[in-house]
Amino acid sequence: MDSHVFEIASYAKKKLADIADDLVIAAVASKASQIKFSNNKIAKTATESMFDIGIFMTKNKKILMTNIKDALGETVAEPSAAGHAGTEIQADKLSAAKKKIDETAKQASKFLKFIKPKPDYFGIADGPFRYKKIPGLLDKKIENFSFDSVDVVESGIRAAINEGAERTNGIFQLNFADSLLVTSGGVEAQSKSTSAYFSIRAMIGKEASGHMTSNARTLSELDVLGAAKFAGEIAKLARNPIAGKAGKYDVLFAPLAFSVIAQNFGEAASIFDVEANLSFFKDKLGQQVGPKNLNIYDNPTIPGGIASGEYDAEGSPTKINSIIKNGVLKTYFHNTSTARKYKTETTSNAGLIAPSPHNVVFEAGKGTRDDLVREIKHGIYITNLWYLRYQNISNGEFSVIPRDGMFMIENGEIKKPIKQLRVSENMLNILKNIHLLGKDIKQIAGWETSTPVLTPHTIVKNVNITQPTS
Amino acid sequence: MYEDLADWAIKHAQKLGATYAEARLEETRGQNFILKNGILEGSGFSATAGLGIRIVIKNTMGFVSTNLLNKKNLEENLGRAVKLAKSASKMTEHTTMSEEKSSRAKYKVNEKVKLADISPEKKIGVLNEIEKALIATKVKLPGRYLNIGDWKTLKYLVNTDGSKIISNIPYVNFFYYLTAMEKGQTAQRMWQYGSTGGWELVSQWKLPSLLASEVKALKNVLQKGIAPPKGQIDLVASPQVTGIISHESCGHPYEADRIMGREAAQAGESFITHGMLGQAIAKPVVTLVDDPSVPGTYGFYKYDDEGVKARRKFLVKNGIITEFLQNRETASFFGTKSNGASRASEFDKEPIIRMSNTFFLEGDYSEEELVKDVKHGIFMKSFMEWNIDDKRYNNRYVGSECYLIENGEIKLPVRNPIIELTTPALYGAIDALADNTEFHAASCGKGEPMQAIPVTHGGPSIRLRGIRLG
Repeated sequence: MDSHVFEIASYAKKKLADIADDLVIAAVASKASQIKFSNNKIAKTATESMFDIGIFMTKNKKILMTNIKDALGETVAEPSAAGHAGTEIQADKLSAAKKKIDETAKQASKFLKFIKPKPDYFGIADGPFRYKKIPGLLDKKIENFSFDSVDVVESGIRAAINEGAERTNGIFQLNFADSLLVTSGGVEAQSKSTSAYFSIRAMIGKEASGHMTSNARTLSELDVLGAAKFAGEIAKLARNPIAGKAGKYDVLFAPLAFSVIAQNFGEAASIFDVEANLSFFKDKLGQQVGPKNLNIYDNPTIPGGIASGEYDAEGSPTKINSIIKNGVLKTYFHNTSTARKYKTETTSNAGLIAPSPHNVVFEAGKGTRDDLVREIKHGIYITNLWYLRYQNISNGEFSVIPRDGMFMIENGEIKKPIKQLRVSENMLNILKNIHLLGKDIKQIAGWETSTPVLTPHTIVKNVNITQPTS
Repeated sequence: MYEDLADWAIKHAQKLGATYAEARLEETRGQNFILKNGILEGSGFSATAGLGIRIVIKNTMGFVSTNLLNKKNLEENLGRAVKLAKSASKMTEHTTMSEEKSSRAKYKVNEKVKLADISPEKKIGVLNEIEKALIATKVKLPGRYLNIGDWKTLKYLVNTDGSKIISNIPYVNFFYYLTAMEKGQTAQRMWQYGSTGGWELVSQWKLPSLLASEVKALKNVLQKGIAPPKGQIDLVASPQVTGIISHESCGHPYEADRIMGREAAQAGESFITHGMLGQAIAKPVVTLVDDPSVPGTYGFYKYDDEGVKARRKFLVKNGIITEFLQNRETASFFGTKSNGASRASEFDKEPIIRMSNTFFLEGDYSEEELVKDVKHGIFMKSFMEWNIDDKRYNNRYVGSECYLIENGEIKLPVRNPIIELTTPALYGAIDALADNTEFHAASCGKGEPMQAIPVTHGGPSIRLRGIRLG
């Protein structure tokens, strides 16, 4: 991280302390690269380099979020009368940053006069804290972008084609972030992390496809070939699908598919969503919401976890929380303020406005995918889902659409490929009907899964499946 | 603004070997306020500035983005981007851009009431007025989430073909999510209002009375709603429903980058092929356009992010598939011209093909006349849950405020009737359109990494004949 950042953050803390009671300053320097491919060819390459300073501050329970624009720039825009950028003047990095912070402080002070207090705001975490190191979150090779990422893409495409794919499409993405967190609660913490994401969708003709992703913090954990082979295999099996039929089925969800549903079990546990009536877990705390063998955790300490980290957005040390234990809903997610409101302990899930889950982790079962298939007499195997939307998030009614390979399961065997169906269900029903979990936990995060989920293949009984009417 | 830096960047890219370069500099300032159950949860103001540069080098498309706006950083990042693009060139198609007339223009959207002149207090006041109106309805509303925001983006686009466009566009946006409760049952409603222009638009939306009538309708459905009818029926869909249909199953499948497979990995492909141009998809009464030039709309622009002049595109004309949405890359691929559909959501995203304002052109009937000619059917005024598969073929729209139509008259409210039809079946069923066009704002998601961009969708009320509900 630029050596000026610590000085800039410390100046911001001192300057804003004059107008704020609580203060959280988060500075992040990040670099990224992407290779996007379609039809077996590279369609685009991209590189990114960013620096951001975000600020959360409160005064007399009034809450304000803002940022410092171009905090490491060497110019300062003198604001015009209308409040928008006017003339730019040159300055050295540090004095430019200080001027920008002074300007932000002035605006914030004015802004705070106009806004109303949030009576149920109760402060941020009181630090400083000691953090426990989480292994596997940084890869020097990614940090330095010191390897040939084109070769990685090429090997993935080749592996899917070897399985029978005609066309492959996807992305290979690398990220490095260097973060500094400074709070009025005495926190001063720095962390460096990397991540890698490989996504491949293999296609044969217009109708057969298979998709798989791999998410990791280090290149050695990234399973490019495994994802490519799975995508290719599914595409090959999915050739010549016929229209499926509506009905109630036992469904085997592949990890990529189940993550799209399962992330909701984490998100619905945010106290913010519960209060806004945007959660199907409202009034369900302590109740049996799933079968007795169902255990789901929020685990931000898991080595190599995409959302793993030593501390949350206010610097509170992260910990493992049970979301569902033996089928019972155990926890709503809190930050320090909401925890004090409900006279409980923070779960270290800040979000300063809205607490949120880190990694939603399922406790693994015993079988392989094929063992689970053998458990189903008459059912459906769904390998991917997209476009989940709620009719009513407070009672859990939703639908979501299978994409890529989808198959009938008959007498314990994967049979003919099918198409044009929809899962039209209720989140609480899905939870209740989780029947068996496999042992093949995969870490999924991406386009359709914004909250990382670690889940195996999973059987859900009696799932309502619909099809287009004539 | 940092125009000199953008000008320097494209010249430097050419020096490094780029055959095409474009730089897009964006500065955005905005404010945002959240009121949850009457409590101001958070307020914020932000300012960002950054540069996105696209290059074609060795027939490969490369993209660089940064908010570190100095020459040294830019030089380093362009160097990284060129290196990556060159190493990818062994695996790329021959990326070319269609020849287009270069443009030089400066334009802005006027604010009758300037956003900068409205204090945070007044903006919060709008939310408080809505809250008061909601409470005054006496409908039991356990969840009331209201969010109002505004921002203004100053954009400078320059490319090596000689285009230079400066635009200054203010946006206002309001989003709500409400839960009504009656005898232990809940119903929810979420919607969005958004336009380009000044604060005057907010009062034009008449939000307090609008939301009050929405929650009364929810209560009515909860109290008196009957089950949807079975068998063949006719359905009159209001402009909100018409709008989402136009967006999901006409706008998206007519995007040329989906048709050529560039977005296959995530956003998906299209059931429409290039060979379907000139084929009938609907009755001659149906005409659908995408038109960025409609003043005041959320998807308004005069020049796209490749510097091509925006114009109305007839996607379906008198029932015939007529035109696809094109950018310079797809136009070159398909041997045609760009029709100005290329946009990026922010400086750090590549421009890709996006809808702007997509809508059915209106017919000669009044909405009452459409209803009058229905013996047995449904009037769907609004919807909640919706989705469509990634080829845009299998549609679902679930009604929120809906009524039974008996012998040409609107009768009892109906609970959640479901349109679940294939796109050809849906468009083939439209027999008449009313003259009551409305535009509705939305954020459309596409691309990888995901980009959410302001669009509108709309049209008049339409009538579907002889469908079955899902």
